[in-house]
Amino acid sequence: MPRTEGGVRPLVPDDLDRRFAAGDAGALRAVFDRHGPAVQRLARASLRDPADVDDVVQSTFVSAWNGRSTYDPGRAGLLVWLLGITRRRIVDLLRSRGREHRDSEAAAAVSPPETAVAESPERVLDRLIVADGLARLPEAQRLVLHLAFYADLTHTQIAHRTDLPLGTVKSHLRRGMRALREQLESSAEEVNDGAPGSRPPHAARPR
Amino acid sequence: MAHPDPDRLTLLALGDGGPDTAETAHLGTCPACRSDYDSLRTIAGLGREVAAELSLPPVADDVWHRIAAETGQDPAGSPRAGVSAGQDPVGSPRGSVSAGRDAAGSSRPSVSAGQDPAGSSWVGVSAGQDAAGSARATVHALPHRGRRTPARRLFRYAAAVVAAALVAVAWVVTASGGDPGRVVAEAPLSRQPAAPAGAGGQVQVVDDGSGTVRLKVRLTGMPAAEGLYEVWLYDGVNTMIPLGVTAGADLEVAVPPGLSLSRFPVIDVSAQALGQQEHGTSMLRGSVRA
Repeated sequence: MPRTEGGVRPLVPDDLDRRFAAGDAGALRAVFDRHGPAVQRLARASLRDPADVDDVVQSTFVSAWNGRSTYDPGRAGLLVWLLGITRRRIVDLLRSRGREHRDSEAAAAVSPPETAVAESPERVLDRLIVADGLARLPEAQRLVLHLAFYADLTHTQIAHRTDLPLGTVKSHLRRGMRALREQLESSAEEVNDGAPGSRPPHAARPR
Repeated sequence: MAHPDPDRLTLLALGDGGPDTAETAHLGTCPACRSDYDSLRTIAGLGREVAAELSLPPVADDVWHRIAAETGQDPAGSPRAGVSAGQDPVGSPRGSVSAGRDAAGSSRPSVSAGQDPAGSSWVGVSAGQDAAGSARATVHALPHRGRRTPARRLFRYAAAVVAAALVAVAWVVTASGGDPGRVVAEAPLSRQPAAPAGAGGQVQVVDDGSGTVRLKVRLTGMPAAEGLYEVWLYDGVNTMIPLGVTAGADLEVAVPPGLSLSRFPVIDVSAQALGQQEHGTSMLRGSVRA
């Protein structure tokens, strides 16, 4: 079965990503405004102490800004790159506390005991990545996937609602879903890039 | 049997129909199709959960100030580099296209598009279609929010978002059937974490036959509003459109012409402090289905 659409990046490139990489004045604030909540969300999924969460958010953006020359907008979306940094900062923080973890993987995956599996940091991370991918899909693919995900419409209902031919709806769904899968899979690599220890095979891959 | 085609596998993964006997058998024996199917099902599951990540609370300003101090940024925002006052559509340094952060809702770049029935200043960008159907977008200055934003670039972004919405609208057929006052869709409004137990509501989409679609919003079990409740259309990603306010009574509001509920399927009811312009705290939310 064909699994990917070649090496073509299916997502719409983001001007802010490039501005950030270029060190544009104002880009850090804009990136903080846009992606700060997602960074904070991931930190909260892993850390109980709100002060720790704030520290991780702060160090993520400081590291990102100082290391912006290492960010390649052609390789990954900025949020994915930021979340990779966040993940490493969480590991660093837990390690610096001298907590005992078998390895950094366990540290990154640690979560409050009352947290349900659906709220595990890994699941939250995957969701944030998919949300980001969805927002960056070409408009037509994004629209049909919105209708499939949020309005729970079938492809026939989507075709009726959008007045698109059935075949077009199906091909937008296929392309969009595969683009999201590529985003999730390539993000798994990006998020783990340079991280001490690596993440187990991604959920999106065959198990 | 032959491998199911990728379109078919995508639909199955989305739960759009079930596999027939031959497909079930094939998925049981073909590892390539099985892993393709499983990975797409993972995406479908995550995609449906994405709604949980769309209304994330903003990061405290204090954290920004610390970041700004450590990176030598202007804590009040950013210099408006490259923006010429004469060309800036927002017109003044006090203008801001993106409200950026709200009290409790999403702090992703948000653009309020739509009509401004009350003439108040909460509309950041209003969009519509002219007689020829081409998209236009106009920007109203928003009050100063204590920091500056690179308004011109954000304006471009905002205009692009609005233009994209209008392109979508151009080929989205509304479900209008013509019977005056016909309810074309309805959905329950579910309580959000900030709302008290027992709070709920219902939204009906009514097509009055004049080309205007109206939302009838019924609120139940909601506490007396400290400020006002506001009804929003939400695309589920980054754009929220304020439609109208109520102190708690049932509300009927028109969906601005040119906006499609296909594009903005989520109806959100938020608690707003008096004078608060950005989206406040979500109290109820529902999704309009076909």
